[in-house]
This record gives sequence, C-alpha cells and structure tokens, in this order.
Amino acid sequence: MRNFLKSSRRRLNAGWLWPLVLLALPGCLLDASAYPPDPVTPEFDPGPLPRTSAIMCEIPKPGTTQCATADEVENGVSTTRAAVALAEGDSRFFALDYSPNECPDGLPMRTELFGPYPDGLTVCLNCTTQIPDIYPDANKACIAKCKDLLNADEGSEPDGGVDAYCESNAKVAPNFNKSLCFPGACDSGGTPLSPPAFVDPRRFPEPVMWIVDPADGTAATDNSLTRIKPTTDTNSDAGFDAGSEAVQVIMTGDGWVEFGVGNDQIETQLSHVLGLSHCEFPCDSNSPPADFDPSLNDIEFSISLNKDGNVYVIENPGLVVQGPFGDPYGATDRFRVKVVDKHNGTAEISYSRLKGTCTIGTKCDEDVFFTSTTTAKYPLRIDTSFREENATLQSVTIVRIQ
Amino acid sequence: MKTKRNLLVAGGLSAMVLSAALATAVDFQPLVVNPRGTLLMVQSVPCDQLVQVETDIADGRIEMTPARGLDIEGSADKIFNLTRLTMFIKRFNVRGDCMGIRDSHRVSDIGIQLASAVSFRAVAADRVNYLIRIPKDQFLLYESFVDNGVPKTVYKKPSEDVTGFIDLASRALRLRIVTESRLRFDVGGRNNRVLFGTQTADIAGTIVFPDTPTTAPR
Repeated sequence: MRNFLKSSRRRLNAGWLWPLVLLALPGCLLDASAYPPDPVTPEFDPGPLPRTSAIMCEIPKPGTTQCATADEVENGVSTTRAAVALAEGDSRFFALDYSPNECPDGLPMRTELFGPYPDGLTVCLNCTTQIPDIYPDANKACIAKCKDLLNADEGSEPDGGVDAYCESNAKVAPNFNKSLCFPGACDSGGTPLSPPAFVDPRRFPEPVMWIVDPADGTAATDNSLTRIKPTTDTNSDAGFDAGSEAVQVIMTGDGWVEFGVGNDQIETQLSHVLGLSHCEFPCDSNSPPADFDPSLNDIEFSISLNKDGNVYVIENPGLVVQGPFGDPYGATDRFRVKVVDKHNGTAEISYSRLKGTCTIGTKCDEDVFFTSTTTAKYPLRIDTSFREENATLQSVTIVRIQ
Repeated sequence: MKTKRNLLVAGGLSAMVLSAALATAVDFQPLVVNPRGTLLMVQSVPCDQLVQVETDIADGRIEMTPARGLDIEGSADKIFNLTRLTMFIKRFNVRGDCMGIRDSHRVSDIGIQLASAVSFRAVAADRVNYLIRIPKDQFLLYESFVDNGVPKTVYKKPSEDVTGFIDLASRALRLRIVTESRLRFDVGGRNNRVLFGTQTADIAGTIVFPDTPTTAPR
C-alpha cells in the first residue's frame, strides 16, 4: 500500500479541498510532492501573499459580440456611459457599442464580459511584486488572466486561438489606470472584498484641478476656485473679468461637472459661472490649451449662480440667458452641467440641481431644469468666470471617461 | 482502499430581508445578498474513516442586476444577471491519522469568486417565487486558499446546473452549487483509478435592494 501510494501521480484539480484528500492517502501525507500539479500551468501569476491589491479587467467573452436586441439594450451599458455608470453604481451584463454598424434600427453591438460592465472583473494580486516586474502594466496582467479564463471555460475557444484573442481584446476596465492597482481591494488570500471594506475608487468623482494663471484673477484651494481680483463692475457682463479653466477635459462619452458655491453669508449675492466649451486642438484629456479669456464669452454651456440669488443658464455664442430656474440657490445646493454622448462626435448638454444628499456610488436625485437645444462638440473643457471679488466655486468635481 | 470519495460541502446562510417597496422601479443598481452561514465538508477517506469539517461563511457578497429583474414580454418570468459572487470561508484545521501516518493542514484565506458573469431566466412559480436554473457550462468559479502557508488557486465549473429560488414573500434567495473533484491515481496497468468527490454549497442570504433604507454594506 505504501509503495503503491508513493508512486502515485495525481492529476486534475480538487481545489481547496485537497488537504482533505491528502489526508486520505497514507504514505503521501508527509510528502510535499504529493500535491497535484495544476492541470494547466496558469498564465496569470498573482504573486506571493498578500494578494490584497486588485486590478479591474475588461475581458470580453469570445463570440458574444453581435447586434443587440431591444431587450439587451436594456440589459447593457453603453461604452460611452461607462464613467457615469461607475459613479451611479449601475453595472450590467452587456457592454453596448454605438459605433457605426450594420445593425437594424440603430441598435448597438453588444458584448458579454467575464465581469459586470463597466466595473470589470476584479483580479487580485500582489501588486508590489507583480507590476511592473512580472507584468509591465495592468493590461498585460489582464491578458494573462484572460488566457486562464478561456482555458478554464471550455467552449470559449476563440477563432485564432486563446493567446491572439486575449492579446487583442483583454485590457483594463474603463477608468482604471493601467499603471496602478487598487490597494486593499482583496483579502490576503486574493478574494475581492466588498463595500464597506472596499469601495471602488472609480465610483468617486474626480476633484477638478485648476490651471491658475496670474492674469486670471483667481486662487485655487484644492478643487475650489475663488476670485481674488477686486471687483471691477457689478452691473454688467463686463464685470466677468476673472476666471480659470480646469486641467481635466471630457474627450468623449457621458459625464458631468458638479459644483456649489462658497458658504460665506454673502455668497448668494455674488456672481459665479461655470460651464463647458469645445476645446480646440491641441487638447487632450489632461491638457487643454491655454485660456486667455476670463470672461463669459468663451463659455458655451454654463450655469450662472447670480448675485440676485437666482439660477440661470448662459449659452454662447451670443450670451443667451435662460431662466431663472427654480428656487434661489443656497450654500448647500449642488449643480451639474451634464453631457450625454450622441455617438456622432457631439453631445447633448443639460443642467440640473441635486435634490437632497447624494451617496457615492448611487444615482442622485436631481432636477434637470434645462436641456440645451444646441449640441456640443467634443472635446469639452471646463471654464469659469466670476464678477465679484471673493465669489467661490466650491468643491468642483467631474465624472468623465478618463 | 476505497476508490470513491464523496465530499459534501453544505453551506447554510441566513435569511434575507427584502425591500418593503417592492413595487418601486429602480435603475440598474444590483440587488445585494450578504451570505452567511456554515459550511460542512465531509470526506470519506481510506481506513474507513470520515473527515468532517464544519466552518462558517465569514463574509461575502452576491450581486444580481437589475434588482428586480427584467420582465419578459408575454411571460411572468424574469431575466437576472448574476454579476458577482464572492464568499469568504473561515479558516479551519484538519488532522488525519491512517495506518500510523499523521498529518495536519491549516487551510486559511479561503475565497470563492464567480469568474464569469452569467445571465439566467428565473421562472415564475407564482407571483412571488422565481425558480433559478443556471446551466453548469455557463458557471465558472475561481477559488483561492492558503494551505499550510502555500497559496493556491483553481478554476471550477459545477457538475450540475446551479439551482435555487428567489422568494419575494419570505425575502429569501437560495442557490445550490455542486462541483465535482476527480483525482486520478496513475499507478500503471489496471490499477489506474479515478476518485470522485463533490462539494455542495447551499447558499442563502439577505437581499438588500438598492432603494432599501438599510445599514447593510453597500
């Protein structure tokens, strides 16, 4: 019996129940070589313990890309809506691609993925040891994971083979920076944690960073912006002669810019304008060209929180003023300039005020008080203008595809 | 020596709490189930012994979207998507003693993760009960654990369709996942053997709908 078992060679995988099986095998119990080899050498190596970091991978299932049905559209998230879906905790089964296609009735292509979309599949690893030493970046780790999944998922063999398929299709999920990992996303053994132990950082809006030029007449404190230039004219639009633009640009897809005003008692007696404008070439996601115009004139779609306490929409060209809308604004009110991709290089712009408090990772209750009849053209940069000294745009954040 | 080993893993999880506002339509935020319960492993071994381990499901999360399913035209059935399933099993120790040989294993950091999101049709049994059957070929699990300090991972598919139900009246979700392990002992000639085992996870948990005022983890 003893010799019989010593010469045995185990195949196939019993998973974490192996120890129980090994206990059943006298003669092998004290022999480390008794552990079974994996049936297939895995491509993805999560590294040594602790495997507490995670990358988020977008790994499509082979052969699942096809024209969506109307029901499947309900069951999917447009790739252009990924950032908003992340912020609102809206994860679904299909990714929808509205790029030009030959589907009937303007329906998109849909693709099934190994994880929910747009969240992606959480892949736990020891980031310290694995990236960049083993995998140059998270994209490469996702490719390795893809190969393991397809090898394990019999029946998923794609045309051209697993390796070629994964090299071409696996990548990090939307808004995941391929050079980073999410620390603390998994337990030490490498299983994903859930809220509240870990909340996906992509659910949080980005704080806006300001480009403050001495000529702007502004000062930034974190993601807030204040006019420091003395007031020049309180009775006309010419007084809007201070303002700065943000670093972040919306290159494509749905998103929004959210803001409030400072909490000084006189804040509602000051004038603040924040909005979006087409960003002329050269313009990339974190580098708009210099903005030398602090006035209202170069802000195409904006919300004006005016010194009369009311909320207006101002659109250019022509300084067309709409409103006032709703109740006078207060220090606790939050507003959004919202962007919805029309899948043709343009976007619909709407304006809203949040109602009540808003929880990260959920859809906020909001009142959309005006939708522009003019379409916006991507890319879009964030621009501001103030009229009175000390007017402050408070805690400005952005949700966008990065 | 036995040529067949059966392994039973039975997991029991607590009951669920459903939203009081079932009729309220919501967006595609998922319904969440926080599984709890016990896990029982029973393994027959040589020497006519039985190894039995009972441990707890320490934590976990199941997400299905949309929270109240997609209606199917002309049918009372619904489509759900199981997009996440993770379970953490409390560590356990096992000791064996057979024919004078002793060994022990300390198994920790045991995690089970759904590796592939899956869409399924929940068949309406009545107005509040929906039966679940997910074809086994569509269900892929990824398990990680640490055995005597050595980290290990494995992918698995169930050996049977994944079954269960959603009971809106009693506010419960249950799932049964059965996987099989096969161990081949290649000793040459006619003595080659394949040993079979099964793991059965019975999962139940508390449903939290996205619009449910609750303190449950979100």
